[in-house]
Amino acid sequence: MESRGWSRRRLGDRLGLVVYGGGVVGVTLVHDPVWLTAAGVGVWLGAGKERGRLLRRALRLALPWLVVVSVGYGMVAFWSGLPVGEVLLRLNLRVGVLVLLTVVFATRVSLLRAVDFSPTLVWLFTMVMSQMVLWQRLYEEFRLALVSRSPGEPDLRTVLQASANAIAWFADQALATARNQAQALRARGLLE
Amino acid sequence: MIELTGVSHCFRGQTALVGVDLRVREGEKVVLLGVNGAGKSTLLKVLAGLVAPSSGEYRYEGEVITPERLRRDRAFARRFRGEVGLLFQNAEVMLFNPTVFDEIAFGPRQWGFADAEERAYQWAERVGLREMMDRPPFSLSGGERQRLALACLLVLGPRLLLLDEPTRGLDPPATGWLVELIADLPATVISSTHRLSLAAELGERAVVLGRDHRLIYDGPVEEFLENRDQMATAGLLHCHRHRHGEVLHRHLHGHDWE
Repeated sequence: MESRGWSRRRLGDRLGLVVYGGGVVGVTLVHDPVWLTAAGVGVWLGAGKERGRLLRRALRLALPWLVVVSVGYGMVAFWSGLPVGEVLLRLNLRVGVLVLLTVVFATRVSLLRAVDFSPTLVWLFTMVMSQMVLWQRLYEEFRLALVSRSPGEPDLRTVLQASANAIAWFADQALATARNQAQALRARGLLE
Repeated sequence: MIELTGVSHCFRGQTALVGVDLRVREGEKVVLLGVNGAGKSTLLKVLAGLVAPSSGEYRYEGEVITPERLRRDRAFARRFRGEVGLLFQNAEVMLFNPTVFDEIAFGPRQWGFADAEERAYQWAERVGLREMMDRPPFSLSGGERQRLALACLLVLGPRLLLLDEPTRGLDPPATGWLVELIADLPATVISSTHRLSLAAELGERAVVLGRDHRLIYDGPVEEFLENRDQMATAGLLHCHRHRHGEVLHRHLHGHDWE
């Protein structure tokens, strides 16, 4: 028999999932930078006591992508005479708000509990999340191995070399896994 | 040399170590035993200064070690990383240079050794990779990669060598070679394994982590291997039906040990 606390948490998680889904759709439909800013501030304020840490995490995730895309678009717009200011402002705000919303959602909501009304969704998300945890652990192993073999902060060349190697390794593993899975499916009479 | 006091480690709600107290003297050969998930790899990473204890204290040569301190105190980090080498369980994560030669020479070059190339050739010879110096590490077999990763550590002449499942992927001749190598090393060596048959070969002292992530035994290896109750508590024995001649029965046993 389920405890009342568990039911309440599940209800909270489902509500969180609905709010997140609504938030994503809303932020995608809104184009006015003022409203996008207001949405960002709203999400940040609603993030609770950990809002500072969550904001830093969201910025760490979003900034590299935003910088690359903004610089790229800025250059193309400069040569083609396209509008720059408002487009970039809107893009940065929208992506920033979406990433912050996702970070807050991932921290505060148990996705598996939220979707436990559907065994298929639970199975699907469990698969996705187990893969994410696996890759995350492997990535951490690569990082720690580099730290342990370096006398200090590794230089950029070494970091790039190690990153390239890790990416090649991940790609190789993904290919090997896909090949194994295909063979397993074929062995069971599929893909013929 | 090493002093752990009440070290616990918990990450994202998962406990890996609970209240571990451990002292290791210079030159000791210690074998770290425990079932999968007992916390062996985490303990080795704590000793390598890569993972911070959630509580408790780790001292190396009297100095408190935390990843934070190693980030701040560059001169100390340089000395510590040069003296302490960790062979990762998945040795492939340690290899990222274009050739075997560059891989072995990476450490000595980073530490500015004048004889980096000479050292690389010397250790390639010792681990049997002298003929493969121009090959990329990813083209080597699993056992060769394991030996290469080991050479990358030994080339720096570490004082403390931490080996996480060092015989993983090694065939019997290569395992024998590794056991000999470890026995001859002047360094302090802590090797983790769950192969009981190798425990007595890898060290004279056993440190055993239980399924509850606590240290449940610290003493002579032989004594531990003679105590079935302790091995069962550590989860290193199991029970299933098997045949002794004509008799089919079940009792606690370990396959690679008897």
